Amino acid sequence: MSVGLRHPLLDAAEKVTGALRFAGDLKVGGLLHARLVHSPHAHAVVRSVDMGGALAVAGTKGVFWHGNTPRFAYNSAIWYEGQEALEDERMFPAVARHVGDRVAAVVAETPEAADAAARLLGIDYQILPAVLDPQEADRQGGPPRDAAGVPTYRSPIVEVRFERGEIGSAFVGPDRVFETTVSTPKTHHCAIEPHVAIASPTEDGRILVLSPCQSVFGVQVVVAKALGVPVDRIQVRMTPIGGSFGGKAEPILEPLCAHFARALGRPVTIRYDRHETCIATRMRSAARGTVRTAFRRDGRIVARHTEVLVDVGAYCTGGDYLPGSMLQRHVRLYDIPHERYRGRAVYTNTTPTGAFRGYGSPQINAIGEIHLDLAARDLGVDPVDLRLRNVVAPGAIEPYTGVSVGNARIRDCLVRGARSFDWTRRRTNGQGTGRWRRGVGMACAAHINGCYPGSDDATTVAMHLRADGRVALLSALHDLGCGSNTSLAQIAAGTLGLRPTDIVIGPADTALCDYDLGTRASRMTYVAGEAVRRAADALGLAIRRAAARLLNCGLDDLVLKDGAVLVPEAVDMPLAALAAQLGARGIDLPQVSESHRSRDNPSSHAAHFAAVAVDSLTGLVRVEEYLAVHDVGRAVNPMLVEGQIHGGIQIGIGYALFEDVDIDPASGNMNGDRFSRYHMANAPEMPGITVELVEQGEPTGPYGAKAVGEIATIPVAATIVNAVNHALGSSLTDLPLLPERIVAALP
Amino acid sequence: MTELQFVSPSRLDELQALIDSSCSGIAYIAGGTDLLVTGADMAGKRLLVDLSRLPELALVESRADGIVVGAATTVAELCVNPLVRARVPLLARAAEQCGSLQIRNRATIGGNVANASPAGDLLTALACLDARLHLMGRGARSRVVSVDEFVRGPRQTVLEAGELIARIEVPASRSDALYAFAKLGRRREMTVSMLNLAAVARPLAAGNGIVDLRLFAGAIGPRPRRLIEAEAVFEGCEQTPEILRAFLDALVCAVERAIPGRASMAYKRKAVVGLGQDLLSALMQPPLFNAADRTGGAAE
Repeated sequence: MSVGLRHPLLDAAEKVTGALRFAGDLKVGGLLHARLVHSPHAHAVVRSVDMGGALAVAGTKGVFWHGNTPRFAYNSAIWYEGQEALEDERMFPAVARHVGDRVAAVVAETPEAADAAARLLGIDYQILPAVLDPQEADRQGGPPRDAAGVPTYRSPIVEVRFERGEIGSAFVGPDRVFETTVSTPKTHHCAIEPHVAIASPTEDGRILVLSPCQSVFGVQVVVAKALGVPVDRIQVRMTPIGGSFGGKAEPILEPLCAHFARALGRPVTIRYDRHETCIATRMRSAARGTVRTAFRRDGRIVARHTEVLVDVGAYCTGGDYLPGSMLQRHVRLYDIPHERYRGRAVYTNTTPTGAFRGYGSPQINAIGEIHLDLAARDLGVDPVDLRLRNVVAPGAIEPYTGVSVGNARIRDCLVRGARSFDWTRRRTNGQGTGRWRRGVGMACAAHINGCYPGSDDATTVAMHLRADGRVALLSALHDLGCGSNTSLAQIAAGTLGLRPTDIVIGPADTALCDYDLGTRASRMTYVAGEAVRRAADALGLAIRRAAARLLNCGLDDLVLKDGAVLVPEAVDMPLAALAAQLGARGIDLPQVSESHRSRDNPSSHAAHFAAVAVDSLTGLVRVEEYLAVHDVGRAVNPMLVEGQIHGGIQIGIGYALFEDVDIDPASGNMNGDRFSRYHMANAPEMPGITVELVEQGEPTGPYGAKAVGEIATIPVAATIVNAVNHALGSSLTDLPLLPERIVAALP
Repeated sequence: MTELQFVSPSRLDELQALIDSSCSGIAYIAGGTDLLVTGADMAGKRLLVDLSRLPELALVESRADGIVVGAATTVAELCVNPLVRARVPLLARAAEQCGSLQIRNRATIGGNVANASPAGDLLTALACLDARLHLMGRGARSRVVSVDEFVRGPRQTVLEAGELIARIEVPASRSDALYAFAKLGRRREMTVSMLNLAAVARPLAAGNGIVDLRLFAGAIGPRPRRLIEAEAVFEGCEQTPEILRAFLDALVCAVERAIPGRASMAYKRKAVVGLGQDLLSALMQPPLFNAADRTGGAAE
């Protein structure tokens, strides 16, 4: 049975040998190269572009700017045609809204010629005052659209309010009330592969876009919208991706690349370097949240009031649903009778933000879990006990969307983690009085499985038996490098009695695959996995039917195992032999197409524990030990699950201790715009990690499986911050915990 | 657009001929860990000369009173070279804390010095060791400067057009010398110094203490700064808690004086206490390196 197997990534050998070709490696005949020019100003009118010098450079094929490019408004975060969104983006805006906004482009025969010509563009800017501080943006409010529906770039973009119970009276009379304000930084995705796109005109007059993306259909609708052409004029094929973490969820270069190819009649590529990927793509939004919670003396939460301000940067992208997403994750972790939430998203003149592993969850989790830990300290209740008194039980209804949290096993994660970590003893050990102070901390998390009920979440999987006895799986699947294709192949193989390597998965392509909304919202294992399981189930039945007809035996006597049909009291028939015999008789090979529409959204859960040492003189933090306990329902591939958790912890440690894009408050320039000035947690900073899995099975998931990719990073920052606050007796709440901030907090 | 030519001379006379022929438009590359990453402006340059194929520039040689290190010697070589470890162990210690393993494998001592970063790790050690930089220029013109003279400002040096660092002469430390290099970055590896300290001293002949302390600090000014007041605290004294405290206070004063009004001062004046403790504890340890020791102490 291949479900539960520690199977290596299907494309691991190709990746480590360099055989896999990424978009930047592809050799395309007649390829032109585009170089984009980005605004050096945080807010400025682009009055004119003098292109004389650039056009004189040999090899220059075209210069583009807002004066000669379609001005169709779009929102890069949509994923289906007709989706409502605040359309405040253009390929080239007439007003640059952040340092790094797109001002012009040169397309030339070689990258060198494009570079040289781009340097010769004479761009005339009229500088406007910039708003860089989200609180200032919030004060200068106004409707984000005018009466005619035109974007005004005023804030808030959205305000989400939620209320449950009797919040007004709930704060009157409880034993204790605590309030904390936590702020989280903007951070970069730091995928190894920078952003890249290729677009080519096809012979039948369409544009083929090759892109390492998270949704070919999302790219297709955004490109069509930006170019003002029908969707069927655009074909999108996913290229192997060198990491995304949400950074490639929105098409950024694809509309421009497609337009250049269409205008010039030649294939065009745009390849961003690291600096451009930092300043001109997407980041994690910054959040500032205040939580006020009323407790009974024993630690039971009576009421909670949360106010969150989210800085989404210069364009809306998906910022209008971000406060709602944060709310959805915030209220599915603890059972709180009286709850009030208000979340606002505001514009600033900084690089836009967008999807990033957890989509708002790491922000709201840090806010809630750091607050809860400080409250536990003041209440004199152990942080694990406090959480055990309040976590949701299996089958609880998440109050915002009204959907069940399913077989939610957060209590098991907490109990098991506390025991494995020897929490109680270590928590009561002294921190030490010397230079290095030691502390332990923990945090819990809840995350979603798919888009239901906020958005329709359906996927279609076609499968057929191939002549060689293997099985082809066709669906718009986007493996972002985490190994989702390997897990899905394991699900299919397990159902069909095959090996995972017998499942042949083609690239996502709008021309070949049915609609799918892409890799997002932790939906691959849970939603796509269930679609694959159903399709494999149906194909298995079709194969046995065909074999039963051929062999003139009962359907129920046949079993699929080890790549063959097992026939009672006869020789096994390998699937290749079955395919050959069917072919010889002129019978079509078995094929199926199954759709699955998710009607549930259970929670995935985690409890994380960390031990840290803090240098009380220099403020440096060392994470010395880490335990991650995850409720995954069932691990389809425990090795890949552990890999996801290890990577999630690496991103989370950076979020807690190192990472901040650090926008200069005067100029709007990004200080952390390259790896020499933007520090992630590198290998020497990584602690030893222990992973424990709670596998109690989710009845609605394939083989009981739930998501792990996003939740792996969600509780990490709060875990580390809580451990540091335990070590120092401090109340640090501003992320990241830079040494300067730690030293300043010490007496 | 001027064409940039790339040349890899393998003999010193070829290099000299290149300098003489086109000194105004010449740029140099050795390990490339700065030039290739920062994308330095090559406008107006016509010739990029690779210094990594010149055996003479990668030699480490012993002299009566010290060693001479070719400027294209890699930082990784400084970590393991027996002559460096035996005769100027402070330099090996500083080299071990430069960049990352991958960067140490490519980066060169000459490149690190010529880069003149205020946070350069080798600069602080070389200043502390009173190293002499041998510069090679047009028409076989050569001159010798100290680190202090070499660095004119942040990332600015006295190098004239076409001139390069050929060798670095480092006086040998005494066989009984104590030495230490301490660095403070945001991470343990692959990190730029927020502060670094380099020190050499000798043990007090009788009793517990040190004499002849020579102490330099990096990343608190354009070039390594000698901390004379802190050095003087130890002179001829038995080491007592009061003396240690006075030493750390002197470090704090030195940081406050070096970068008054800088935003980073509030942090650095506190952190230097921790770094000073690291330095002293390393300084008081018995020497880890000697001529017979080829492996101990190296990072990784």
